[in-house]
Amino acid sequence: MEIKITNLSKAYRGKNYVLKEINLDLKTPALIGLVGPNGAGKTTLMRLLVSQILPSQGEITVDGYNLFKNQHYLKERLGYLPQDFGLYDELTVEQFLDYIACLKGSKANRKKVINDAIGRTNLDGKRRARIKTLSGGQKQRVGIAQAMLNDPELFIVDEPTVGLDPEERIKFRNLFSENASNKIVILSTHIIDDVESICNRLIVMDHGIILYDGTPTELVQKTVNHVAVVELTGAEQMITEGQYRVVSRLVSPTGVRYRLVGDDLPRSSKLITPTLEDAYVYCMMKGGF
Amino acid sequence: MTKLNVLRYEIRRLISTKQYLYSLLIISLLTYDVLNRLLIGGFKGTAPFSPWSYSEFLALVISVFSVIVILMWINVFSEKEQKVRGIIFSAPITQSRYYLIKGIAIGLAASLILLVIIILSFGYYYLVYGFSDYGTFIMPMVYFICPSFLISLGLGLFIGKINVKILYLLIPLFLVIGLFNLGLPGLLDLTGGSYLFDHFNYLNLEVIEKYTLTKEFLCSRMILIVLGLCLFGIGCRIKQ
Ligand SMILES: Nc1ncnc2c1ncn2[C@@H]1O[C@H](COP(=O)(O)OP(=O)(O)OP(=O)(O)O)[C@@H](O)[C@H]1O
Ligand SMILES: [Mg+2]
Repeated sequence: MEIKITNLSKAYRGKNYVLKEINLDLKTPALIGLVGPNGAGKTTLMRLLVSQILPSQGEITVDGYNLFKNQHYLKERLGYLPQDFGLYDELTVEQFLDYIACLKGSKANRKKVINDAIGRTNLDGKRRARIKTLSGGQKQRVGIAQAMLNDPELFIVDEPTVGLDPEERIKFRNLFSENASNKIVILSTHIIDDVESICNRLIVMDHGIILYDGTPTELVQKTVNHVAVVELTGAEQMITEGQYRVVSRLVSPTGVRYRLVGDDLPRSSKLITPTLEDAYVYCMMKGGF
Repeated sequence: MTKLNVLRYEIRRLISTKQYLYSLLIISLLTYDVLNRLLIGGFKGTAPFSPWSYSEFLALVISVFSVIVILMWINVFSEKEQKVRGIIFSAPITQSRYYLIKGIAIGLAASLILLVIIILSFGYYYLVYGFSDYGTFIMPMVYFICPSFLISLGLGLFIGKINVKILYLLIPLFLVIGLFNLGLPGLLDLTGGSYLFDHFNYLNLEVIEKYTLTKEFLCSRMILIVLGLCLFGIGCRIKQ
């Protein structure tokens, strides 16, 4: 599958542009992490990709077909988890998944497809529970399960790991990367860790534009020599020189350890190997590469 | 075939709600009350089991029934349901198809309520008057149920798609039109109650025996049926 996005812009009714001239080329296989601050336009981009909203300008094609004229083509191959979704509370987990599977018109054995999704999302114990009796994280898993039905070629999940405990989060991000070899997986997240561990492509957005598009490793490389630590002993001591951003501040018995990212680091600081999080901060600070 | 399963789920979701149970309860009580209190002496001097009385019974009950249909539509467009649409419309189903399924589900769930009304009324007639010539009630049912049923089904979808808030306005509207005798002209007289009241005054004994309604009235009933279907069809296709 190949998705081409050309000069895509979106303004919600009468408002300013929240996406500006986006150009992207997505090809199987890909595991894409979409990151950016609140209001960057991630959800908007995803909703355009699943044709739930229409663009103000620009075009999206899927395997050469115009998306908005051939929605069926895309939707037959799509699994989508919206950021802010609802479920039918009065149905059981199994019934809800069956309902969605029926809508999707599962080709294969429906029971097997549903069992598979329940198994993979670890909902076995809850399959006959009404959805209204589930916890927030369990509902999130039902959301992920419905997106996995039919093993879609295009898998778009908008902040799928919110509300999951750390152990489940790790399990799920591994689940996304499983069998990703014949798919396009796009996930948006605020957890850089998730991107670092599974994504082979990272897209950083802010204010409706793309600041970075490439591998996570490349982004980290661009940040080499721009990350440093400095340890101050006295509480009254201040760093005055340079231009940088403080990524973390760790209090220890010997003083306070600052982690800094920037172009002009104080001389007293010591350069260290950047992490993807440092790289992200640096990218945001520079306004893109 | 799998779409039939979706329909099954939708019907099940509708009839397993508290709202549905209360609707059934209220409409059953109303049925009994109208028959036992208002029509015990018959409509305008006819027998309580005359088609005229039955028409009047239906005209009264159907306005509350229409409100039940509107309430079902209000649920379909509630915020809670709308939030599920994000998932639903990622499946390869068109909006019109989806709302067609919703509409059929409401139609069938509501028909079940109608069935209860009819069975109760038949039972009442049988037990109280030993009357069981139900064939004479068929025409009243066609004239006094179908138009308002289809109008509430079509209008509910049509208006719900445009703006849910306006849907709430339909509730008092249906009640006022149905329960008060406003002397409304044909197309506005959704339940046919105004007509019945008015028309009857001009009839002589011979016609009363026969249950004849004027051509204009039948015509307006036909138009309402077609209008209801059209609104439903257009409603399915309106893009949100
Ligand atoms: N339905 C809407 N109507 C008007 N403006 C909207 C609508 N949805 C989003 N916006 C605006 O579009 C911008 C981008 O929103 P979007 O939801 O795409 O951000 P996001 O990157 O997903 O943020 P978050 O990380 O908080 O989920 C925001 O400024 C938001 O206010
Ligand atoms: Mg978002």
